[in-house]
Amino acid sequence: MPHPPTADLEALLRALSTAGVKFIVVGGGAAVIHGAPVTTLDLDIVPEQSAANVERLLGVLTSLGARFRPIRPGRDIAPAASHLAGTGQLNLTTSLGPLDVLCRLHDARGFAELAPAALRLEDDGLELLVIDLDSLIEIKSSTGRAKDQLVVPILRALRDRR
Amino acid sequence: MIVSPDAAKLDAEVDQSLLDWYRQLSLVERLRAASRSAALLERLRRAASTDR
Repeated sequence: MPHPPTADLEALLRALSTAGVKFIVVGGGAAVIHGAPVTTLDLDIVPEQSAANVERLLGVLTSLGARFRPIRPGRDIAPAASHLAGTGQLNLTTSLGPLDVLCRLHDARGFAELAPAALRLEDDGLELLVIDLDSLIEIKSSTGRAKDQLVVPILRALRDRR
Repeated sequence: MIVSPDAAKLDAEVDQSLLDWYRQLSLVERLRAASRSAALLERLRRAASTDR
């Protein structure tokens, strides 16, 4: 059965959280959590990269049938622990939709650098670490991507309301 | 941060009432709303490409 083209954000986050995976939500999902009325096709996370956490993350990805996307004839590759422990950005497809595992952001920050300022949030049994709004604005402003530039004014408006 | 004239224009175009509405939603409700919207937009995009 083909994987869905868009992410079920809640289901993906619950799968990761329930398995005890340590990660920080970044990207469009973080914008949504901060209160931006936007949509996103995929979930972006930055994982903590201890051996135990990589193992937990790999377990979830395996259970969700994760593959590098796009899947093409001759290119049907499952992520491995070595990928999750590296520095790359893994664009995956899962049974709950697209999931991007960003071992480092484009500015080279990883879990350790983002965690001190990250927000710990909880709702309906779902506990999350989310990138702080200032860092999210900084990152979205610096990617040079048109879709990120459109979200930045909304994030700034949210910051101005604090 | 340097805000360009274009950025200032975009800032002014943010729909504050939409932000008010969205901020009333819980974290989980926001996730559900965003996922449903993305799925609908993707279906519309695919339908539009089929209709061409």
